[in-house]
Amino acid sequence: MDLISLSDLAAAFVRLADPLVLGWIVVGVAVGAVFGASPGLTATAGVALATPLTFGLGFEASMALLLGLYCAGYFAGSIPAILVNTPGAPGNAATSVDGYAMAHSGRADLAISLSVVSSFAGGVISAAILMVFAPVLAGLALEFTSVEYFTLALFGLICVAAVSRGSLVKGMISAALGMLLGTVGIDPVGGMMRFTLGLPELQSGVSLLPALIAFFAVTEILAQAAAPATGVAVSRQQPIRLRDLVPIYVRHKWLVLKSAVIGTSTGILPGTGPTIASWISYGEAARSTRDERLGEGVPAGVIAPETANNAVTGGALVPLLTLGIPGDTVTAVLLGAFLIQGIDPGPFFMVTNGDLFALILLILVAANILILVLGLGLRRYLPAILRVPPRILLPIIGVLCATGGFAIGNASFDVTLVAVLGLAGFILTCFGFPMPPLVIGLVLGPIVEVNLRNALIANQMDPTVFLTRPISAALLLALVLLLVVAWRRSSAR
Amino acid sequence: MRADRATGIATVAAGIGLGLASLQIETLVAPGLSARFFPLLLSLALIGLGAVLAIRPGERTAGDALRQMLARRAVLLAGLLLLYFLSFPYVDFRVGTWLFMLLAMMLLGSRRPLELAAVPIAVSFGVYFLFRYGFTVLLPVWI
Repeated sequence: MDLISLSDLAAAFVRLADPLVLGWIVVGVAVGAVFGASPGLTATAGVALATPLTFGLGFEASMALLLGLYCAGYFAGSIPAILVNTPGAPGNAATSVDGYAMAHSGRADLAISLSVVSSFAGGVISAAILMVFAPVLAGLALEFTSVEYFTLALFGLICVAAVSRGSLVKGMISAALGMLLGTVGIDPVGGMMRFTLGLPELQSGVSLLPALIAFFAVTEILAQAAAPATGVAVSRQQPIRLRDLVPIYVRHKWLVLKSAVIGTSTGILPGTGPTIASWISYGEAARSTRDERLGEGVPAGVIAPETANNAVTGGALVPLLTLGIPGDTVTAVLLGAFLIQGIDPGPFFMVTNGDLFALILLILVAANILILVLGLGLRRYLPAILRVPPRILLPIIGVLCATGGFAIGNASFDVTLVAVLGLAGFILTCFGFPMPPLVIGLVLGPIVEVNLRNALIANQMDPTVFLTRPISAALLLALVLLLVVAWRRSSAR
Repeated sequence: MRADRATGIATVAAGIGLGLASLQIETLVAPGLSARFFPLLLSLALIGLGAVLAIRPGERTAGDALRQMLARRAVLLAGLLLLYFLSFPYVDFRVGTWLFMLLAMMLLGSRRPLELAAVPIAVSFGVYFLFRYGFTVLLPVWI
């Protein structure tokens, strides 16, 4: 498969130039910054809340809103990580090590500026890699049968369960519960009713968007309410000049490139995400710079994780756009947004919608440029976001959860579903069950089931077919190795 | 009791219950795998994983988990959220949202009269206008 054609690229440029589309990118970046910077609220929660709003928008506007939110959400978590040592999202935890040390020594402005520029570099490089790599993978994906789809979906699911915080077994239980939720409704193969409890609203299954709002936003509101209040003061910043950044980036140019490649390739693997990417990059920075001050507040400690975690955004879109399989929780929500627009991502997406693919790439680049401009422009005012007290923020999020749940289909049942699943999610969270595997289980469960059944039926119920086809066998082998490593890590903990 | 042991046992029980429920799913007499196949497979996985969790529990006690779950603020906010969500289709959005915001803010520690007077009204009308006229969503209203 060739690269994106120039005509598709030109058509995408024209669509992007629409002031309405650019306006939605600004809105997405602004909202994403609020979600990313608020500890406890994540880019996933923001994208989940914003997705129902895209019903009334066209494809361009909805992608502008959601991708802007996605990129800004991953970046903005570094702000509280640097200022108050509280990562806005797990993917920014590595940034807090050196970032907070810099802020503590009066260099918060420098640390935030490095975070902004590194996030921009990571996002843009990953979009460039996506442009080159995605068409190749899409070509490969056309060769996939049910056997490969089953093992790949299972691989993604187990990856999320294995790398989630806490115990491996609990991650797997969450994934199984998510898949069981995914079986509610009409059986996709035989057409029989399953677990509908006699409710006609459940015949079409548990809707993804109410479930996402429930498991991420409602659960987090309650978890925040249950947590003891902590009063942490925001450090004062010493201002820097932007030209001071130039020699730092000249010195660390290879670190930026390496971190972007690490972030993108980590994002391509289903179930990984920014947390793993940022720590791998941080480790690589420690190995390559051999700076003994790493961890005490040096620029490399901010550049590496921030470049990597934003580079994940482009990488995670590769399996979504080429295989229809979300690589992380945010892309799982984005899959819902695609379906709202009547677009089914998969092997044929790039063949039949080359202009839309090019548009997505351009929106990614535009969102990252906006992050750079806004981030550098507002970096001295950004701490104000943290001053919105939880006593106001949490009820507002509650209102948006209910309204967003209702807006999905103008149905009160969806609001009830958000409430019930949200409470269930909170109870599971209290007992240490991670939410990401549950959501990925809900998304991938039907894909796993249909492809497992189709693969077995097509191969005369012979389960060895999963071992005799090379891609499937390789994925299963990787899965076993991953489980062994995760089990050892989990046992050691 | 360890929290993981309790949840492990609960998971095994849930797996058995779901397995029995899966057996009630109607099936077609046709070649291939029935509609029961996948839910049964998952029920078995839950039973196995629950057993592992119960046999190899972590250090945390069930009391710690319950303390987090039953923290006063969390329980009251959960009750308030549930009431707001369940009454959502029946109560005027602006009234319900104003009341929810006011009570939730008070519950979470807001005591300033100006804040309590201004924020709930601003949020209820702001969100209403955003959804009604920005996203053209018809929210439940009395008038």
